[in-house]
Amino acid sequence: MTEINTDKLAEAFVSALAIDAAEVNDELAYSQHPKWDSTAHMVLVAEIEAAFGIMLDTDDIIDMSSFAKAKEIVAKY
Amino acid sequence: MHFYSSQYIQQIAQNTTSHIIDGKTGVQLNYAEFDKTVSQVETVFQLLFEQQGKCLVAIESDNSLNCLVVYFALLRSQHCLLLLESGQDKLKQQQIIQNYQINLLLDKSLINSLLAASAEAHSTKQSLIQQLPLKFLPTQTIHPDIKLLLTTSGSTGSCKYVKLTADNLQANCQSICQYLQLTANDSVVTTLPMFYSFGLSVIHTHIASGSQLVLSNSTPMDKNLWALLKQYQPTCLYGVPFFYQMLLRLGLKRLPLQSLRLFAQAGGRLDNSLILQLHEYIQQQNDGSCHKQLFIMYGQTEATARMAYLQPDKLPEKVGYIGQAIPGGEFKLVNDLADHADNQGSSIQSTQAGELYYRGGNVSLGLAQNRQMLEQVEKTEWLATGDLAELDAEGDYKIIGRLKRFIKIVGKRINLDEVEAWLSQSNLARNLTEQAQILASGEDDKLVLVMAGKLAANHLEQIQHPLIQYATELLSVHASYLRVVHIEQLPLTANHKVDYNKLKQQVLYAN
Repeated sequence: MTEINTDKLAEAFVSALAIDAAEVNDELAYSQHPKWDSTAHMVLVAEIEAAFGIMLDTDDIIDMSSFAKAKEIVAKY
Repeated sequence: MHFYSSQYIQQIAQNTTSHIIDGKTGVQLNYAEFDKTVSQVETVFQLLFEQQGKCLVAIESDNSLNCLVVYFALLRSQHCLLLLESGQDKLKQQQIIQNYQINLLLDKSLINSLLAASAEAHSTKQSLIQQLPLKFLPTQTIHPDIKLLLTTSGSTGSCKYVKLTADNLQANCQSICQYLQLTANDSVVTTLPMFYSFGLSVIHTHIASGSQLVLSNSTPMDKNLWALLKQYQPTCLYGVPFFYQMLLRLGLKRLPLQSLRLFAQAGGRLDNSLILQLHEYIQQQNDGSCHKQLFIMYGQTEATARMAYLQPDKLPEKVGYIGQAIPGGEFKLVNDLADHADNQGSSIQSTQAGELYYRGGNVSLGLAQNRQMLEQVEKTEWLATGDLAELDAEGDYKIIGRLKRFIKIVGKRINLDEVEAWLSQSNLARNLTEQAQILASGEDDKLVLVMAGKLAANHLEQIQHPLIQYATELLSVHASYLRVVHIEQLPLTANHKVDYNKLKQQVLYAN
């Protein structure tokens, strides 16, 4: 697995979910955090794609249910 | 005979082998079992409300089988129902409970206990009833015709509810069943919450037609929704514009949509480009053995949900049209001369523009904001939609603008006047100089908070962040739909009122 820029990924989460940098950790999970709903998820996908210059697959968008999972997924591209 | 009555459901049960299924627990009931379960809960309510007048019962609703059973049991009672969003902000909920003097609030755990006790002996029911204290007694009178209260605005903090009758629900349900040609062979997985009029109409119509109904709260971003679609192979799919945006983003071709015969969209305007993409996908799928259709629909909670739909075969030519009134409904265009001296509206005959008015059995009894407003009803024949429309030679309508100052963000209706009122009462406004004020403007999915007037140095930078934070929390919308714009001079009309049209043009295209 390639190393990814975790800071860049964390920045995408902070901006898309409108949360504090301190709240971004591996436990941060979709529909668990009040700010991470389906609307924020769409914004997050767009932010990640722009930040890393990638296009996420359908399955990856749906699978990306935590910050830890997002790191794994982005590393595949 | 109403679609929720025991007599009707029993009749449906004779003609269908379908089930009503809780997508989360997997529990399923056939229509005869569903009717029996509803009847059992009815008896608990009869014991509870013995010797009471018409009460107001609120349900913290989610798309679950237990919630649906309790909802049906209450529809069959003489009482009035109000559907609350589950997971709603507790302060907002408390405000609604106070304003409406809600006599009984049923949350998830009470709903589950009700279901459990309903199948037990009389003594168990009695002991449950002890735990369900009725509040605000003796109750203030509720008009006998009001059956259900539904929110107009999603969860924007507004306390406005639409007053609906049993006949409104029936008219809306019948009309939709007719034009979508729903049958017992149809099947649906719910994709909209039941406290929302569109979501509720999906549940009503599929029960009235004896379809397979799978209850779920999942969104397209949840794996679970796609698992349910694969498992239950629904024939019908319903969504608001944002739902279809998500589907298109995920990629239609890679989603398990093969079993569908019908895609339906309502709850705000879907971009023409997205309608065309959906249409194109459907055309590609259609061959001899498969015939999928896309229904673009139009409505308001004030008309119980639905007023118009566009015949699917009129796409792609009539993209952007709402089509014609639903069966049992009728439209007219009125040229509003309110700004002129005579103050009389006049109907326009042919291809001109005017405010769209609707009449039909689904037009509600008006809006309420508190318990007092449930004593009275306003019977308006023609509902003013607040939308400007034009009519073409083939009788199809197209929305070309809006008279009322509201926008939709992700399908949630937001009244700009209300936003302005909340902002002006906030602490943020108190810190402004006397020459400055905060206004709300924008269009769908773009709310612009306008700081108007002279600001102290750096004030815009200081206030921008807290203002957006305040508004996103107040309206429960994502910050990416909001912007703050500063203008020195407010555009005014001839009679020195804010010219909201000019303001909108000015701020929408400002940097």
